[in-house]
Amino acid sequence: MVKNRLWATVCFGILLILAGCTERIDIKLSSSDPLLVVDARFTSDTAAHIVKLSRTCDYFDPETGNIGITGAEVYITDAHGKRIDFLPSDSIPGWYLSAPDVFGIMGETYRLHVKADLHGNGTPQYYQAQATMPFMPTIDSVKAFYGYHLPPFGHGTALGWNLLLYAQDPPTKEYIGFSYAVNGEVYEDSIDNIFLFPDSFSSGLYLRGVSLFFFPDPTQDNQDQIKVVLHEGDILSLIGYSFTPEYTDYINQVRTALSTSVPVFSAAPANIQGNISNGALGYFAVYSMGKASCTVGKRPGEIK
Amino acid sequence: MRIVRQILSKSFGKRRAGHAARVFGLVLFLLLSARGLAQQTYTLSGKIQDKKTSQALPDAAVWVEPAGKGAASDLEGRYTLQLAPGSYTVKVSSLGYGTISRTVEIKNKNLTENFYIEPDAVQLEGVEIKGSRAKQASRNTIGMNTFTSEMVQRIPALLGEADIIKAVQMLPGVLMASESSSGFSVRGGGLDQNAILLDRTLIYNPTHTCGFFSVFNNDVIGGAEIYKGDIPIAYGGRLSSVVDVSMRDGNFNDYHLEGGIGLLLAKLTVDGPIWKDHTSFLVSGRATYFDMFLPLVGMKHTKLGFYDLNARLVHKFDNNKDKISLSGYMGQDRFGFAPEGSAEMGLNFGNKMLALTYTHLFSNRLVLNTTLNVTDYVGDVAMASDGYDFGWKSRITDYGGQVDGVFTPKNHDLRFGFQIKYHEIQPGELDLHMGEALGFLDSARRITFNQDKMYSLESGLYIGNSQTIGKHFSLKYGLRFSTFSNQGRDSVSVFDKDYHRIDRIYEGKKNFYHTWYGLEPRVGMAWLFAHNISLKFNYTRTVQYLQLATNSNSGNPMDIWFPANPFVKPQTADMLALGISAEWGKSDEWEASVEGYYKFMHHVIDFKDHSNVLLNSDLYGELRMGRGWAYGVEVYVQRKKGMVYGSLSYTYSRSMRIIDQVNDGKPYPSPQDRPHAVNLLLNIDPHPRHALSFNWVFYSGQPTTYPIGKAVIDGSFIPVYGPRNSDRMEDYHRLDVSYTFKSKPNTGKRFSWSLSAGVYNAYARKNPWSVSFKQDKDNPNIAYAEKVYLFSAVPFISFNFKW
Repeated sequence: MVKNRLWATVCFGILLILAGCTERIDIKLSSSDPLLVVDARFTSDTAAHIVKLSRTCDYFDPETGNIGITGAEVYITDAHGKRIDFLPSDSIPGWYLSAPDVFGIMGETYRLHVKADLHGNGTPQYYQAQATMPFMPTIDSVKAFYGYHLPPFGHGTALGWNLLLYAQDPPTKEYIGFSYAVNGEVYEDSIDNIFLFPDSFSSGLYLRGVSLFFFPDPTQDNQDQIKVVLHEGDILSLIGYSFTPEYTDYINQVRTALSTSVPVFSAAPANIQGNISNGALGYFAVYSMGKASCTVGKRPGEIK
Repeated sequence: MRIVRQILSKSFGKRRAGHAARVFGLVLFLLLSARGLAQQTYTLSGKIQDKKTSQALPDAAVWVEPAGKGAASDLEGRYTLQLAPGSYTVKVSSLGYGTISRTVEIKNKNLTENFYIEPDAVQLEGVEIKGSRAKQASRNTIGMNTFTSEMVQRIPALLGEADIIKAVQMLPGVLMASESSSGFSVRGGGLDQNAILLDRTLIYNPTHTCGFFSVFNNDVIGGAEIYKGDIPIAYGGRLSSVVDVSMRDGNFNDYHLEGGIGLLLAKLTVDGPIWKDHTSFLVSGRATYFDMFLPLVGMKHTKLGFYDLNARLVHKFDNNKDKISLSGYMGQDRFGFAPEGSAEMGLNFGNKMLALTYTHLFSNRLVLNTTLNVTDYVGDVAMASDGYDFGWKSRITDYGGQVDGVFTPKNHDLRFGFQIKYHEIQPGELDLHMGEALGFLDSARRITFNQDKMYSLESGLYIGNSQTIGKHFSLKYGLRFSTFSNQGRDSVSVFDKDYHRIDRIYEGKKNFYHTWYGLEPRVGMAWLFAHNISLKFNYTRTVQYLQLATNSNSGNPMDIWFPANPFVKPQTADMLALGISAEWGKSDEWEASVEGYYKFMHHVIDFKDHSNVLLNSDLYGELRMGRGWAYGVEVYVQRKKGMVYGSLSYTYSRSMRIIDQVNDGKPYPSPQDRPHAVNLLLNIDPHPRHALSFNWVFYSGQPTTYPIGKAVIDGSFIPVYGPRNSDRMEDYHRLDVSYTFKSKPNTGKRFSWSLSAGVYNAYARKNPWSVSFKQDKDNPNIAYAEKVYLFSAVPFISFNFKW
């Protein structure tokens, strides 16, 4: 997959350099009956977990504010029959929240139940999904290190802060994702930009400071391109997610669907395959989380 | 006979085995009874050669009046005809050459007549495109076309580099895969269903630079034949077409230099005698210099381009009965990126081939060609940095040998032979080395991931005859028997009906653990009516044992070939074709034809949704199988001579697939389904030194799947798709124009030159290469469609010379 994308990028680049251009075009698209979309995430974190219910709409329909499904019954059960209810959000239609003290347990299997009246005809349909929460390897520590963007995920010549991870990569195959938080505000945790760690290359080894995220120094780089600027004293956190292989596959499918189509390399478009029953789209993701934080120190004066 | 029945059952299924047996019997009967149908005739045979260079001229037309019989010369320039005693006028012509006539007298013995024909002065300057199809009245082949390098040179091409594959893409029934691609589909077939041969040796990836150029250097091409379905019995291994390109011999008498320089590419060819009239050589090279211009577009430290080399050595023995030739090709594409302080990345891929051919003439009626060849394709990606390096490689190598015989008794043209190929496929080999210097690991580490190499042996045994019955009817029939055996060491996954792996069987080294058999009958007939009108019909069965593992709509350099095995059945195709053609006017300068076909394809392969074909040790589990069908009508009109000449073709065709678990198991248009296609080639030669060419192409839009809705997740619009390929992109059309100014013809000087300039896509049509759906960055609630088009108008200029 990596090679294919690499090659696709190269050739796409060659073609575009030689002459290619892009242009917005008008296309009349067909419509379809609405389907239920479930975006449910249940984690090991103690928090108010959220299940988002919506319906599909025409692709060019700009009115996406009213697609939330209200009036649904949403709950999760575990293997012991324990039930966790999700109640409608007061502020956002289509969001259903658990109590704030709820958390999942690694190794447990959870089942999501949704009864929703998609068409508003008074006849709710039943949808369900099931997933088991994987184990999360321990994050020993993290460190904010000032320097060039370090390999293997970076090769930049600009200076900035690397967020380094120290942890034992278990010999088994894991499906780990990472995002980060600065002073409690979480970044890069959405389905299309969460960092999926390729653990095939380090299984069984101790990761002695691998750089997962890089924050360019605004005094050294083009400030327009910088999303997050670190300052001395900022609390920088690494958040790890242990996904199921099926959910990782789902994330990759979503990313393919959102990428630009390149005919020489792209497969025929296909609908994303989730784990919700009864023809609904979306995913009931169950995953465990880990977190480690550090404080951003002074920029080394001798490095210019 | 029991073995024959088993083979028939395996090839056709039990239900149709009986029918196949009857066809087989009929072929045998016709072969055995052939002599009985003949009258008392004698052989007129000989060789057709270039008067200046002594090169044999393949595919030259020989026409005998008043017998009304014709023949085409073979690859060695030989022809054979059976004639009753009498006096005849023999006319010989070839593409790029003039026509000569000679009166011969057949008495009560065989007669040998050699013909030396001179290049047509006007043609040599690249002016006249003679319809090679003119000879088709003397053949009974449907959907066959011939090209010479002069014809190819005349077609306006992207960046001015004449290309045989681009010329093939202009034929009716042939569709270019995507803008600028060298991939093509023939009569609704897949992109991997075309056998592309150079001197009888298969080239697995005939493209350079993402398909902008093909591997065929037009300056070394002696000729090319394309068969779009009525595939001669001597060819096997691909379902849809054969493009058989042959390198020309070097000149046996004089040294010649030929070259050219264009905007991005330069080339040089040298040929001449090593031993006059006996041994000749030809060496040619091409190289690009894209790299020089890349810094101008901001791409510093970047390597991009290709080079290729062709060489051919030919020796003719004094007895005029033996000839030996050695042909070689090697080409390499490179892409490299090495910015300062960063990782160095490289992509390299290329083909190599070597073919040794020995031809022996046992008599005027029996010729045997023996070929040994090897072909090799390697694609690799490498990345290196301080502390770690990464490499991926895939490779396919064939070692082959074949014997092809031609026996031409009275009124017959009997072809027979045997071919064998040993395939060695490395689908993927990943090597990752991470050193301690990298810092974050506590020890150096090397990781290799090798998919099992796949070994297989493919063979084909064939015999076929083409016979004339009376003055107006000809018949051909033949049978090809092919086998394909998988060899260990191998691990073979076993899947259940839902494609879940349930077992893995390990096969020992060198053990041939599974064999497929295929019977490929091919039958055709032609009636030649008055006024040069001919009606032709044929049935062809073809079998393909190697498939391309790609889940995209087009090929790319990292595509992996994989063999049929116990789980994957070989693809087969049955095609019926009917055609009528006519020639009229002065010297038959006009030609028109209408051809229709219906093709059934069995065990067609596609990939499941969201499949992963790279470094996947369970690749076979990603496959889905089904069937396909294609049909169409091709209308073609050509004027071969005059100040204004050219061709116009229109094709209506459909191509459909039905594949298990794809599109809910319902039929859908294949990516090659483009119902309407028009090709217009117009040449205007107002003066011997000036030539204008126009090429206009129209295709119905590429089938595609657009979203019919969206789901909103994390603020992103996730498309919801309807049935596969239920939409189409905009229609594709393009006009190319070129103008050529040449040195004075017929001055007697050895040096000649031409300067060509033109425009590809002259009216700057923005043909969609792809269409994507995106969210507006400034207003994320708004979605829009965006097309990528590769080319607006692209000018070109090139200078070519001959000495």
